[in-house]
Amino acid sequence: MHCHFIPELIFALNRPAYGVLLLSGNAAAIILFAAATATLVFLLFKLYIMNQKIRKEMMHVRKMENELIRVNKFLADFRKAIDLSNIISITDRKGIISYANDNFVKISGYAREELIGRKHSVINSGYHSREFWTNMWETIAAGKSWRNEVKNKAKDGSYYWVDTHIVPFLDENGRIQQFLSIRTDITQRKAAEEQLLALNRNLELRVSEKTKSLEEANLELMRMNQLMETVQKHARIGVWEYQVEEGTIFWSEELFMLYEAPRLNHMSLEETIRYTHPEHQGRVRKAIEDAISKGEPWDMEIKSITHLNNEIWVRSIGFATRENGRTVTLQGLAQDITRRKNAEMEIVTMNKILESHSQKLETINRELESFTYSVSHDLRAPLRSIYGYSEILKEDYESLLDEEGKKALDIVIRNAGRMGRLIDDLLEFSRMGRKGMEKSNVNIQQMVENIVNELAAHEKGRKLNFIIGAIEPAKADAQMLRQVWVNLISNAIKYTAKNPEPAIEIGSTANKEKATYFIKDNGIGFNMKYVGKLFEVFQRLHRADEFEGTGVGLAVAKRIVQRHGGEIWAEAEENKGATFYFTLPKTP
Amino acid sequence: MNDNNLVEILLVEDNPDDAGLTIRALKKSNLCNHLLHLRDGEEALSFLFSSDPANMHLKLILLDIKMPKVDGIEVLRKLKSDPVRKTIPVVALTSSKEERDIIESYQLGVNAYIVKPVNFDKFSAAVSELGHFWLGLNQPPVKDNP
Repeated sequence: MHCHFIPELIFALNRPAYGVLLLSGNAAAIILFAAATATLVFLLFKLYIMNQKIRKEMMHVRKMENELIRVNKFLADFRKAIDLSNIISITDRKGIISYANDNFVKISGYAREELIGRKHSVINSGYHSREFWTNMWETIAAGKSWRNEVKNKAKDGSYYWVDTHIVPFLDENGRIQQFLSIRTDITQRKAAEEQLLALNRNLELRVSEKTKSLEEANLELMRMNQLMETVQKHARIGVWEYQVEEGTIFWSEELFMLYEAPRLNHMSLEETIRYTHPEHQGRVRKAIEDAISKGEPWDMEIKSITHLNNEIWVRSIGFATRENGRTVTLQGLAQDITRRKNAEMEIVTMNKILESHSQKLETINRELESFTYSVSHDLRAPLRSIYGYSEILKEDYESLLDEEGKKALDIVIRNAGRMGRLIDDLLEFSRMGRKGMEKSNVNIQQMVENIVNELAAHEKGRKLNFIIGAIEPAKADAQMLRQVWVNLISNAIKYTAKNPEPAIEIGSTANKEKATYFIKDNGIGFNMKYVGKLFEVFQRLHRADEFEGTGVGLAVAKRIVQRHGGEIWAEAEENKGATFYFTLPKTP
Repeated sequence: MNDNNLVEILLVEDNPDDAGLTIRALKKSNLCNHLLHLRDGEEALSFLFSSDPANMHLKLILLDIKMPKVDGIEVLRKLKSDPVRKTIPVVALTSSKEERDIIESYQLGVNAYIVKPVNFDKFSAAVSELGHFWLGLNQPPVKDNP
């Protein structure tokens, strides 16, 4: 429109100047005319110049105008591009939203009307700290732009991350007009980051766990090693390995100690064999050969010589590891068994001594037996003569003796008889110790009843009251056991002699292991303080003139019971009676 | 017929005192009319094996076991392994109560085994009883050639 304005103006100016020229006349009029013409030309010229100037100016303006249009378009494109690619909002100084672009609406889930006029805090997730926001406000209030990654909350409660750039707009005086926020959605990146972080954390945890378990395993290994070393040391066990092909030998520390050998790194098999006592080297070589050729293991006790020439005993164990039918390595151990071996040898020696002792004992026993035999024969013979001829003296020549002589003769006869009984009992006692036992199932009930009948038959003048209960059978040597009962029952009969109403009770009790037999009388009894003497040979608790006896019966009984694996004991009270007990095992 | 053939009881006993007691006991029981006392096994064997058993009237041998030179066991063995003389009753009359002597004697075929008691009364009774038994009650086997 402006471009038509300038030629019209020039036409309007030309028209009045031409009218004045027509009104003035002649010379003067000519001069005037000339002057007027000159002025007119000048004016026309000036007008032309001006016109030219305006024309130039107009061209410039037009150029400017075009430039402006181009910039405006560029800005509009720019804004459109930013708008499309970012989340844009504009707030005033107080943070109240005045503009929100489509992206903002879309990501926040709020309608534009819900955003405009409200503060940004509407999308605050509460994730960031107070300091975080303080820092933001301080930065932008100072007119500086602020950039950070912010977690926001959408209307539906979901979260999203945005890379936020806030730029304050200032007026000419440097005062803040408003804030422009440009955000890009980094939720996915953030999620990836978090996932990565979690993954990292997990990995770290696993690594640390693995490390820990590795450390523990290491510790365990160290402990095991230490234990092995300690055990080796204390058990005096050394281990070794022999690489057959390479011919190399490994010895553990303890092995060097065992053989009191210097720690050599390289030893040949031959060198190690040399520690074996020459007597046993053959066996060792054979064992190694068999292990290499056939893979046979060995375990043997060998005499060895240490580096310092001390003789030791070693238990050597070796075994082969084979690959493709060939022995690759030999491994094994050597244990110092010198002490055990010495002890064994000591035992052997002791056994030999014991054997010779027992042989001596056997000899002594035989001697004792022959002694007993000779006592049996030789001692009884003269006694029989003393007794027999004293009797003859009495029978044939008693009339020739006075009272004193008769009394003396009686004493001789009585004592010879007593000595005979002593010898007989002693022999019986010794016989019971030596006699071979023949065990069978014995009906003790029957046995006791028979004995009671027999013995009671000799006591016709007395009114003996026997109470015989049920009596357990037993596995025993019948003859010997009979002797026990005879001795105990005759004792009971003997020691109840002074009781006008003698009562003797016999019975037994039993459990799984043993049977306990008892015989109880109401006789003279004895004082329990002498009970220890009761079962000893020739020990008597009563004077000979009170009760006859040699003091062997109970000793014989004890010997027999003990030989059967049983026990015998007694309980008594003076003048009230005694009870004798003995046991016989059920499984003899 | 010599005197030996009249012997009815042969006492083999090395101890003269014991022999005295035995003989007295037998005498008291009127059993000692034809008694011969020999003092050891050697004498006994030479007596027993020197005369023809067919002519012997020997009814009992009282044999001590423990004797010098040849002992009673040996006499018993020889006697009992002789097909003819083994029928002569032999009573071991001895001090020995040893089981092995008793067992061996019986194994060799002794007819009785008596342990001489120290007590003279018992001794006398024992000797008298066995004399009566073997000489009176016991029926010897019938001889082939009476």
